[in-house]
Amino acid sequence: MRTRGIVAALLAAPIAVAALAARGESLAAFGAPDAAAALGTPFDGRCIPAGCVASPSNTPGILGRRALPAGRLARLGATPDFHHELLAGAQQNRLAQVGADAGVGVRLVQGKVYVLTGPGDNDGNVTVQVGTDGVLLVDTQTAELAPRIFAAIRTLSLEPIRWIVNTSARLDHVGGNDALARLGTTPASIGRPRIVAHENVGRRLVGVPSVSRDAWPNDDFFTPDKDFFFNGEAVVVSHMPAAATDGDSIVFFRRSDVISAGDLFTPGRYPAIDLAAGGGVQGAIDALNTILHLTVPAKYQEGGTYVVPGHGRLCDEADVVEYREMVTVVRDRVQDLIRKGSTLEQVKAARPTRDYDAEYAKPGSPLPDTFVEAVFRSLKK
Amino acid sequence: MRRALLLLALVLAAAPARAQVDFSGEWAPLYHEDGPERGPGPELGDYTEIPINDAARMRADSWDADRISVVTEYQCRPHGADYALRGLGNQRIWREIDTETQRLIAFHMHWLAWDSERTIWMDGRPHPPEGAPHAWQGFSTGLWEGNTLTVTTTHLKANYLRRNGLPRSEQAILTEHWTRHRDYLTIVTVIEDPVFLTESFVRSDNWFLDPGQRLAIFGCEYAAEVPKPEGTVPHHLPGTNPNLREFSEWYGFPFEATRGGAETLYPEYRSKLGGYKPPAQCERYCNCSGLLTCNLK
Ligand SMILES: [Zn+2]
Repeated sequence: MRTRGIVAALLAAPIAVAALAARGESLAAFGAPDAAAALGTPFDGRCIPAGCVASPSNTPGILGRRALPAGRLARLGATPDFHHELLAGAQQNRLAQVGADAGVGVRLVQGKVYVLTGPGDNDGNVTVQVGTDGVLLVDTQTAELAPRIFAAIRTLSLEPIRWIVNTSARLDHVGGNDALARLGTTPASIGRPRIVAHENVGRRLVGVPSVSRDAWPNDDFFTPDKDFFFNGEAVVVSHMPAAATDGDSIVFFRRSDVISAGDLFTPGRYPAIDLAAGGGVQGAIDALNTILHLTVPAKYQEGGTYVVPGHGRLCDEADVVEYREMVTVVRDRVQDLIRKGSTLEQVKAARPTRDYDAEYAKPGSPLPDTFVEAVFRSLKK
Repeated sequence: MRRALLLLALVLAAAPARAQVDFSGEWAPLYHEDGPERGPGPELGDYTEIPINDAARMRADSWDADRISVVTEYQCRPHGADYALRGLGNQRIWREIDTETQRLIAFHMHWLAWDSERTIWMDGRPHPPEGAPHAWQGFSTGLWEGNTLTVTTTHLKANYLRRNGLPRSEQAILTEHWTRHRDYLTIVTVIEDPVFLTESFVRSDNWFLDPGQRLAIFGCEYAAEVPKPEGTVPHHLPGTNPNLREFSEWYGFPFEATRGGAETLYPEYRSKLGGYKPPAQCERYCNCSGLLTCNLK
């Protein structure tokens, strides 16, 4: 009961975390020896406050010659409150650096959802939902990083880890499953968390030597969706077929209004489409379009639904639109070259990503040629 | 006596510790610079005087104006902080003062276009960390350099340098220099973009104080306008954009000169082009200083 009360206070005011430690109520008492030290680091308080080209149309059904910014510019009464809410939300968007040791960034997304980033630039993001029911994780990074990830989780909640959702079978997304499950359920009588993933994730993990049986999903699904209610909100896990792999899912926190997209959305990096693991470019585009169906921006076409990418910074709908545009345009260019009879080598030589490379060819992520080859082979299938 | 001393102290305290200018007020834009681009809009394929690289050129060649109509998410997308100064640039600026200390916390700006609002923090706060979300207006902080306010903006969302598809990336950093001469406000902007520019891109914009200005509500609702297949993104495949030569033909410019790049910014470039032969009669944008005064065909 006492634990619950403290956690509720933490949730109501994340910034109170430092004050709690200062009063001497060390979280070490609750099984997280590193956490008290980690809590000594205060939040840094940084926050973000928040045409008319006339051209003939080449899209069927569009009137030629537009004279002013297109779209139905309805004269709506725009309420200033809307904007102020956006600012208020953003102001909570504080980053806690969980001690010099951990190096894992903790950021409130909104509602009950946080994102853990790092410590490395290319490390995957861990989405954390916290509340009185316990802790839910989307993806778990690697076993080696688990103690640092766990220390960061304990700055948000002292409750057991009850759910783990894996957005794919990739080792930087499932690698910490077992370690975090153990760390997050002491004493052992609490019981193992449910590990949710599409059934293809489990299939891919069988026989992978670095992943123990305990790390496998124990609550898989073969239907298009799986949903459950946790910490006061609906959590919807949706399978995105044949996208980056054959086992990808996105996770939608309906009340918090946050989507965790896994490697289907990696801003600043080309998508890692793995054909050998059942992925394909059309599925990757379909997944991005599905995300765009779910997102609703707030005023100024920003904020509203937030999207946590598999790797990279916190985003919203407009950022997914940019990414969907890139993948779609490259798909169309490669398709056109295939139609003209180009071989893979000729398609690569045509460099159909050359206007995107400066933005998306990030070290440690797929190279332009790798992405182009995946698109080519997907379309040739 | 004591009261007199107190008064004196107050008078002294009111004197500015360092130069500070108040930019508050209703400001009406002057479109005497770049009128055609800022009013009716840039010509397709006009990349002149922008130090773009090949990637930016290809992105703009691929761009199709249908995108702002077909892709509903684009319809109400506002100008970024850099472009907002240019188009429908009527703005209100006001100060946020800390009532306890009388120190300046921020300048706030409201724009006619898209009802956009922007804050320039003057209280010394740091910029957000790298993983923070980006915004159309980015995150801005200001510093005084004499009577000029220098503003630095990071965390911009990807947007455009020109409304004909010339892109500006989210990695760009915007620097502004604000100067007020009585009733005139001049803002010089410098955009550095490692993704799309080979050198800094400098522009300036001017306003005059118009205390009677009343900003209307812009308002915008996105809506599907035509049935379209899921996920349609209109664009031109490489080498297929039919509109790129219009600009050079209408104005009698060599095509290469319209393709932009750092070289085209400097006077020496003229000698490379040979003699310029203007069209016999001006037929387009002959006298253009606003939305409705351009002679558009
Ligand atoms: Zn990944």
